[in-house]
Amino acid sequence: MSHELDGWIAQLRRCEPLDEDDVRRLCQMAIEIMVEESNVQMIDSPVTICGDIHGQFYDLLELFKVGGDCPDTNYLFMGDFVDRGFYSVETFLLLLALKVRYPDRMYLIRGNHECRQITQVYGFYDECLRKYGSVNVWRYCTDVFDYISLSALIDNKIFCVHGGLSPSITTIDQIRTIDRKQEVPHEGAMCDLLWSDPEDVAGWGLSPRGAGYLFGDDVCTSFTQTNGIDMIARAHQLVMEGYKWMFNKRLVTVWSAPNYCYRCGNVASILELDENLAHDFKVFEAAPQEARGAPSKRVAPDYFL
Amino acid sequence: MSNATSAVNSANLMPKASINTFADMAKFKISPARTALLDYIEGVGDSLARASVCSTTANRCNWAIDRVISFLCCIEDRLKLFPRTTPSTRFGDPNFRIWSQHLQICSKGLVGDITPPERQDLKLELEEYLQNSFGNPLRLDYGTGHELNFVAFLCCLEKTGIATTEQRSLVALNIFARYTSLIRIIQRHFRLEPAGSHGVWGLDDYCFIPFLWGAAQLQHETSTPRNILDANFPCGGLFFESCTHVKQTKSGPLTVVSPVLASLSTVRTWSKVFEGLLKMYCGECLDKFQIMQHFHFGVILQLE
Repeated sequence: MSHELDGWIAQLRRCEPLDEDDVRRLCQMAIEIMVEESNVQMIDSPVTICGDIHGQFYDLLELFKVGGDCPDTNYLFMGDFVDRGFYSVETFLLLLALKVRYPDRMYLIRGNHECRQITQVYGFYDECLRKYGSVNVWRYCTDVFDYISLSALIDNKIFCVHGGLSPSITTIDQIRTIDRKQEVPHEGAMCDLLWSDPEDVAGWGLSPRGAGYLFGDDVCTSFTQTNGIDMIARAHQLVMEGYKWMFNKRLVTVWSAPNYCYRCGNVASILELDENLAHDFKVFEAAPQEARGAPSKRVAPDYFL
Repeated sequence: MSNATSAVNSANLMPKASINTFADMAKFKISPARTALLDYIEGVGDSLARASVCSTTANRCNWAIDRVISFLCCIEDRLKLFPRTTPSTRFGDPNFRIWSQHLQICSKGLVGDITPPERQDLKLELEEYLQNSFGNPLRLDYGTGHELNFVAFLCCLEKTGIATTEQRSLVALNIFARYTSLIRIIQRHFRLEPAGSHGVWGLDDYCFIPFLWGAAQLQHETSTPRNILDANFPCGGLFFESCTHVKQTKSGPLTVVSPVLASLSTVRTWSKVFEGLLKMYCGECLDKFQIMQHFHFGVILQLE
């Protein structure tokens, strides 16, 4: 099985998508691993934390160049693998194949885009349909999304989540009791963890995103104290410098999609934690043009038949 | 009229977002509003196909059209009040919210000036479409739903007799083209996020209509859709201007950053591009619940 997986990984690293039936089998294997994982994955340092990728495949290769290859480096990706970019299929499948091949070295948690409804609006659905001519691959992948864990805890000191906190969650133990194997709900703890944002507000605020909440310094401080942790690492928001500290370094945003949407001009970063949890941000730019392949196939959508 | 009656009347006239469930889209598909919008969009395309590609002032504008143009200049001028900021956490600049208040005041002024005295009852609806044409101040985003509101505003100008059907190409080339370039300035100025964009799989992050009407403009030109892949575009119209904008704002080959746009180069003629884009506009914008749930219906554009 590992031989076959290594073949898939090599193929995906060349940015060649897998056959539909291989995708089905890979997704099935991933579900078998993920179904056993807790909503709060316990991870030991050293580990490298990554933020949103959004289908920017060649920038993901750049990330591995900067951070080291898996399994030489342990990785935690905090969600939003798909949507917006050109290569969501290749990006998600590569991360998934690495997860299945090295389950204790590659950790994935769910972002707000790992969801049927959102991917139908922001591109992943269209991409699967255009690249495979059917939505089967989208179905297999979105079935996996339901099994992806919600958060991680590194050395019991650093809590990692895609979006942020929830007014329904006081202790990390409460997260463990969520039944996560479902489409991301429109409200409630699971939704908030994937959608919320830190902001300069007192307590909780309404989110302009229409899901999740804004949470202030006081909320973050009380969460870290209650749970005996040092800090929260999260992704979810573009930050032009690649990472951003807030709330007296009790919270950090990590963003790993350089030149987001091929137009925002931002740099990206990953956060390396050594065995003593010392931080080192590695900042990187978009992969140079010559390192990027270009698709040859050009077929106009059915509207033009 | 007593204050109470006038309050009731204006409540009745207040345009409403009436599409609340997926099932409501069935109502919309047979609604007078959809027919009016689609007829207008297609009609403008037809008149652009007859106009010359480089013409902007083929006919003399009327006073109301000039007034709309001066409104666009005025709200552009208000951008100067908000120097561009360096981004913090959220990508969009919250100053857009204050600019939107200026927009609201200017919109009321414009609509007050151009609405015929005997049709004052239509003011709320015209204001609604105009104010929703420039993005969402809460979410700090802009997308094809906002663009549709501007098209609705233009459509209503015709329905209320403020503009005539003979002036369609004039309205498209003088008002809509200016709106398109202004909205691009606004997107950059306040770093508005693309609302509900399909990422690279949409035609563009923010807009659709300039490609559609732009393809209509090119129907009798010597360029062909193959020119979409050219390094330098032939002069001409909304379509290639929009392609240029995509190339200037995105880095990477067009086949990656906008594969749908690049694929239009395989379509044989501009009229086929126009027909396809019109179908695509219905499929991806006009008949999409996610967009139409935010659209307001009134007395000019009615749901039933």
